[in-house]
Amino acid sequence: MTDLTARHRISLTLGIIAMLWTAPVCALADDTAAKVKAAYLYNIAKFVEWPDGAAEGSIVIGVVGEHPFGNQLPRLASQKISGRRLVVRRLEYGADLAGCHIVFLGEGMAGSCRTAVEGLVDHPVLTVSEERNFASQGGVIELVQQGGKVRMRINQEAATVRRIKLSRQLLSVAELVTD
Amino acid sequence: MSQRTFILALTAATLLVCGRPALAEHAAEDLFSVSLEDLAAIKVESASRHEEDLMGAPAAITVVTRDDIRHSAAHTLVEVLQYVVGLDGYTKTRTDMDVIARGMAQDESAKILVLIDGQPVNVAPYGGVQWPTLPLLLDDIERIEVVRGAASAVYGADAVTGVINIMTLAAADRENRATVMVGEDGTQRYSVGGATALGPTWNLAASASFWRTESGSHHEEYGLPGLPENWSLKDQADIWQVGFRLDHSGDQSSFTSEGGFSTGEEGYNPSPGDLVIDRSQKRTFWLNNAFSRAMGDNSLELRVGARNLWQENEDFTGDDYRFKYRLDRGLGVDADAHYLVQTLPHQTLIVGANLSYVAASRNIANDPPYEYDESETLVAAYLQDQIHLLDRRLLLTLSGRYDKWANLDGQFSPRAAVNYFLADRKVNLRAIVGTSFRRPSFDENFYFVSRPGSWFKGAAVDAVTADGRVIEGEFLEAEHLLDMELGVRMQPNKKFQLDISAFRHFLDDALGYEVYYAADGVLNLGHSGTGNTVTVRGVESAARLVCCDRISAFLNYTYQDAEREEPGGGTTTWETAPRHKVSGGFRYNGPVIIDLRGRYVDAVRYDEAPLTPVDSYTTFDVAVSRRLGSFTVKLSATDLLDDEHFEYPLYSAMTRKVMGLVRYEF
Repeated sequence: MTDLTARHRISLTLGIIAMLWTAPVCALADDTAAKVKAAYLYNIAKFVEWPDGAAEGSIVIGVVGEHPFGNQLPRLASQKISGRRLVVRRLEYGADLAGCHIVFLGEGMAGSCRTAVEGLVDHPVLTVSEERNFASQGGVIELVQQGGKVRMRINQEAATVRRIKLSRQLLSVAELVTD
Repeated sequence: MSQRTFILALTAATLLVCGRPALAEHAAEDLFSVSLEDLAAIKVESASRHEEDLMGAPAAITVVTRDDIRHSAAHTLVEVLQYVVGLDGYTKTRTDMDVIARGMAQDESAKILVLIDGQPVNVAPYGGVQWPTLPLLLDDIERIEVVRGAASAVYGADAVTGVINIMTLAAADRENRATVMVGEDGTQRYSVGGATALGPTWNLAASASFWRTESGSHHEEYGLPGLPENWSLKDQADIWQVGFRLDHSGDQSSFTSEGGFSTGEEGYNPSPGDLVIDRSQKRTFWLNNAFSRAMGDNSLELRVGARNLWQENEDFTGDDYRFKYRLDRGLGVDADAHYLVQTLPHQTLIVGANLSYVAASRNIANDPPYEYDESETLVAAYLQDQIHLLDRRLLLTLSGRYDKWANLDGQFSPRAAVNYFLADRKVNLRAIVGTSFRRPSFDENFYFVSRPGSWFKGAAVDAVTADGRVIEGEFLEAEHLLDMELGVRMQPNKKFQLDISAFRHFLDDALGYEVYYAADGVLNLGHSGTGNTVTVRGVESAARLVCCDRISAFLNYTYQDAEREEPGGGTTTWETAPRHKVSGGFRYNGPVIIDLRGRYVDAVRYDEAPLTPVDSYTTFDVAVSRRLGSFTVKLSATDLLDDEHFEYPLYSAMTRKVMGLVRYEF
């Protein structure tokens, strides 16, 4: 075993101090995934046409259960789309979801809310979740991570049944699935 | 100024000169102004998706993420796996290391199946894995999934106590990079890698590296002064390796071709305490071709791959090297096809088939010379059905596999697992019972060494001992394990996760050694099926915590207790695996990433001389890394407190090793 001499220890210490010294005051956390997913939610709200009766006023986004958006929800709520304000509501399991334009169902919520989701068929509510096979089981948009990137899987039929029209911009970057 | 000091000083100077780092990509506080196309192209790294998948897993699974690999002090796969609950990784020398699981004896590495993207890389002649020369860079690994427990119901032979599935990064996800790593004792590694798109749907990645494990001298340890400078040293290896991955992604199908090749020369300690050091040359390759096609919600996957080891060992006579043995081929060709059905109501079904051809040829410098050339084929079929009941609160997983090796009776390995989910799937209770088997390796049946000072025979070899006793050969039967376990996995939120397993294994026909005759102080040993049963019971506990959005921590505890039946009745405690093991650590994710972890490993004992007990030890590993624009700089130390310890009897003592790494992405 080779001892570290005093000169070696000094060099090593200087190296570590140099790393810490050059750290910026405002440290930047790696929450890219949260930002990307929140941005997807924003774009979903942006590239959707709502039926009459839901096409005016604020766009309400309900978030049920645990979500992957980190600290992005307040920033999302500060956005506007074509003059319409975005409103983000944190909802508990069992809450009335019909007043929302978009509902994000968090981990475990899609299965538990299955009855609630099916009950929303007659309401123009666009459902989003990260749960596996959400889109092929009747949800509208499923966020998936593939190859280190976030993609969308869209069940267009599920949107059509709810009288929601998804724009070409949204469909062109997504994988389309059916029930 | 020594090379190491120069590197450290240069590192410090570079950091100081660079000043404040360039802002990382996507440092904006939000991405609402980014187009959909650009959003789809942004790379994200998150273990959370894997953790979510694991909540529903019908087995005890641990995932090692790319962050764990990249930011820890580990520089080899075994050093990474040492911190996985239920695994015992140990380093005999810098060129010889192994991984065992769940109380199995050291040198029982053939009881874990190791895969790279589904392709087995266990070496055909003896079933273990050549970890140091495995042609795969840590930089090219996306994650490692470790499944603990009997897994032959899906994976077949060798998946006795578990499966380690190493998943590589897709070609499109690999950066162009050049890495230089230097450390104490002359350790150095240079690697380069890159990827490029070949059109809209094809991506190609390639990498190459040179690794010198050590270049120090151990002459004085063995009282053998005056040896020539080019004498192969026990802990030294020079290993060259190359690898590639070619991906094609279509609308409904994908294809991947990947592989690696390594060639190296190493000083190799053939047996514990042996003063004679072998010089070993090895060439290893693996190849994997996988095709998958989506058929609605179902999918078909086809895979064909191969693995081979060529090795030649010489031992040092005091003047020169002499031929000792050569492994002309240690070949495996494996094909697998399975169909995933997800359109059945409340069920997910996998139906699969597997064909394999394995072969081994050895040439051993006995007097007269001895060689064997054997091969074997496998035909297998397997099925796994996952049934969701009670509104998806109950998951029943039934699986079974039938293996027919040409020289072995047919083996049927069933497995049943029940998962019950509580509290909105935040709690997963599981109960598992299953069997697994191990096919005796070619060496266990056909190896034979007979030279002055050494006598060892495989079970199927007819041989004569030093005193003229004739030992007739008899083929070994398969070894079987019955696995029973209960477990619970809790994840109340994304910040905390706890997994606890309690298991009991019954291993029959445990591999043993029979003493035929000890003549002139030479132990005559041979492989044989002892017919003993080894019972292992244990508890594994793994907790992970994320706090403050910057700090993640883990704490693992393993207890394993093994007993072996004795031929005359009664049992003895089998202490060849550590009874208690605690490992834990934390990582601070800031502009500077600090990863500090440590482990306590209980003592192990062996019954057979000349193996001696290995004392318990505690060791700490630390790594500090920083990204500065396109550069990443990392300083690391294993065994930080320089607490000299052995991880295997009579091999090298492990001591502190300081390493410095600079990585440039372009």
